[in-house]
Amino acid sequence: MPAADDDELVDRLHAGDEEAVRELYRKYAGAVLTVARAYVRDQGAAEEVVQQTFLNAWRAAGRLEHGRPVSPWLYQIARRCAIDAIRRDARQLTVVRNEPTQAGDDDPATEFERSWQGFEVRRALDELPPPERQTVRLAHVEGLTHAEIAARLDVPIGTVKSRLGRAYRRLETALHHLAPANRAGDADVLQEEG
Amino acid sequence: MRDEEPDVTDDEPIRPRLPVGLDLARASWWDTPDPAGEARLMDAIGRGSRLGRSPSPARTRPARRIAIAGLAVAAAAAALLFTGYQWGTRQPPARGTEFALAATGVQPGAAASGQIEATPNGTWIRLDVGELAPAAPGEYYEAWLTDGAAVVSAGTFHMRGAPAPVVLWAGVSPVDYPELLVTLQFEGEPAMSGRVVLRGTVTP
Repeated sequence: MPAADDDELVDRLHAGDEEAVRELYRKYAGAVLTVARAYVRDQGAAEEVVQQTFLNAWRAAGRLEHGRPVSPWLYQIARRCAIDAIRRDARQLTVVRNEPTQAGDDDPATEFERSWQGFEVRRALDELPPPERQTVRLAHVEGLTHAEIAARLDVPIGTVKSRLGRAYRRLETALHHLAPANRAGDADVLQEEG
Repeated sequence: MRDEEPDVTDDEPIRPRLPVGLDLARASWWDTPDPAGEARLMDAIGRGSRLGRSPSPARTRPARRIAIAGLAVAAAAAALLFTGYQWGTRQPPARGTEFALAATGVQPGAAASGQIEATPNGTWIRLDVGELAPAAPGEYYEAWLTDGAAVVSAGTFHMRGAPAPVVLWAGVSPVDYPELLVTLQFEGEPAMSGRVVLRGTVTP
């Protein structure tokens, strides 16, 4: 968990450093997009949610206390922006729902992506070194075998395996705090943004 | 191109042992944000800063506050000079001067037209709003007049009732503040949200 980096980002946001927002965007835009897409189907609408999330974060940064983790704070803003987007759309269509959502209402995988745990998974994937991330994507999304990945990337098959092994260990470490036994503090970090 | 990473040669299958169950094949884990998104964000933040929106100025560091205050004084002086220059060329809008507001990306289908008049007691504004969604509970719309550097509220509304014109008043002159913005606000957060849904120039 790169908490020190985030503390520095928070300090810079407090100080009104616009470049800190750029760094926040580069670090978290993917995670925010995953949450947004889990709420709204339309890619353009999800991109608007991403924009609004970082704008709201910039405006609310003065209320983020030093030492408070950025990730759950930003997740809450993203979630609120996504729900806002759905409510606006629902009202235009005069559709009333108890739980505003457009995407996969009953799909457990979508529910997971909508959650803070989903946000953290995406963030962990984004923080993998590019060669490892690419290898994991080829293995899981394109369903390639180790040999096929080796051929695609022009590396030995052993390199493919070592990259996958390292990537999985990194993910395991980065997501350790999401294991059921370690999640007692979720309610504390998931305070509503100020 | 080959790299220098150590090879693993055993045939054991490599599987993730993650503390959460997830399907890494889902596209949503791999979607990439719009490449232009970063530039759009920074542009919006830059525009917001010019409108006086930045993280809670009251909680910024003292040195920074002094710098911001200095910049604000300089901006105000520049605005005053600019206004002085404009004073001789712009005239207060005559009764019923018409204007139009255009939607932004926040509510792309929204639109509004209106009339504005400088009266002895303030600026009267009538908005005929089309296709603006009713504000969600806990939210409302707010109209602002701005000169590009400072913003002045012209009143709030919610659009939850039957369609009807919205009548607003502002205590500043549209000669000095020629642009009208409508933002979506959260209750309890009186500062301009920056979620601009409509914008346009009200002074010919």
